[in-house]
Amino acid sequence: MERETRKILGRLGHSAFEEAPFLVSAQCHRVNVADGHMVAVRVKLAERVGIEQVYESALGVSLHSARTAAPYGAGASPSSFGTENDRPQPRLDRDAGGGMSVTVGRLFPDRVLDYRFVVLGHNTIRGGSRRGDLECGTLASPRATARQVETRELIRPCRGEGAMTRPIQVMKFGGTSVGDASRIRKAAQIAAEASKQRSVVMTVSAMSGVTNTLIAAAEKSAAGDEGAASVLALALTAPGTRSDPSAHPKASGAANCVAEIDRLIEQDRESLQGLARLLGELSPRALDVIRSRRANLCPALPPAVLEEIGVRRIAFDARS
Amino acid sequence: MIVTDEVHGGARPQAQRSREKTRAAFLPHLAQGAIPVVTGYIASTARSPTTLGAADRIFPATILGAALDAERKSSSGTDVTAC
Repeated sequence: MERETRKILGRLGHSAFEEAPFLVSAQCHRVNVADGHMVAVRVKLAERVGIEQVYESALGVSLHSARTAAPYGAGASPSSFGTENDRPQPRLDRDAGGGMSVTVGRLFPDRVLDYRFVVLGHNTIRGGSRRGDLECGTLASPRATARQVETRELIRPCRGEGAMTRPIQVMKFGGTSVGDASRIRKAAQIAAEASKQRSVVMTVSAMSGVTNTLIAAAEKSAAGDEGAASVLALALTAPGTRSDPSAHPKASGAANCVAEIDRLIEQDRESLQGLARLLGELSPRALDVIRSRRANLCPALPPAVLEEIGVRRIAFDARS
Repeated sequence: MIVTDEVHGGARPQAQRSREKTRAAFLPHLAQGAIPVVTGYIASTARSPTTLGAADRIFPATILGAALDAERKSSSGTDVTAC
């Protein structure tokens, strides 16, 4: 939450996001709600403004986003303002605007910072499936930027040769959803379930945190720290990082999977020692080699789980 | 799978070559009912691995989906597992 907020409100640089230059302090609480993400916000503003301006600003977001949300028809305004003291509430407000509205409420002056308010959005509609539609709408818009047009050309489907008899679904699993072994297992189950209807391709990111740990170790190694490689190897084999044995499949693939991970970790250790002893610098190309090897570790896990569930699977090396 | 230019750390995909490689790699396995598992933003030039630039990192699943003429892309991510 702390990083994503600044990333979303930041700028797109050449090869990385430039995060917005303000501080965010946040903590996540899991509660038993079927759908809906609610955020209690306390904010310190750069200048003193009246509460009417904050209120108008919330509606301003609404007016701005309403244009992009137009395909969803009337009543789908992305932001609405609840004036009751007990709103928004997930069950009552998450479906506003067909799940595309973000509801803001309980706006009051704050005794420590400047203002406090509560924001609610539908995580799987606004934050998921229909957000994807919205992205496609933006790419297809006549007002698309040069970069968006380039991306549009890139992902334009070309129909023709080799038509499949079954429709294909590409399922994307992000860092958190493969963050530990039990979540990897759940992701594999979702893919296996979907594969009953369609041909499924899974794309998975590196386990959350692992890539950042690796890059930090690579930077230290390049600066001459020979110990960083061993510290990294220890961190990556620590419980929780490599997944806990109880969630590991009993299938024959499990032992191979653990052996493969150990081999990759050993390779990482050797690469980083090489960086420290020989190169003394971290070029973009060297960083790509290290990152790609690490990201390749993760697909070793879902196939092993899929095998346990009884689904045939193939792990692809994205570099090949 | 995804073939890019040689800008390490911020590579741009090349559509036609990515399409050819992806289809050649996946379609035979899909026809047999297998589930291919592939990493997110890792790509390569003809010679070495690259990582996609920030803008395209959002889209690897979309790029693969387009290359395979997929009917749908689902962004399962945290929403499915977190709630």
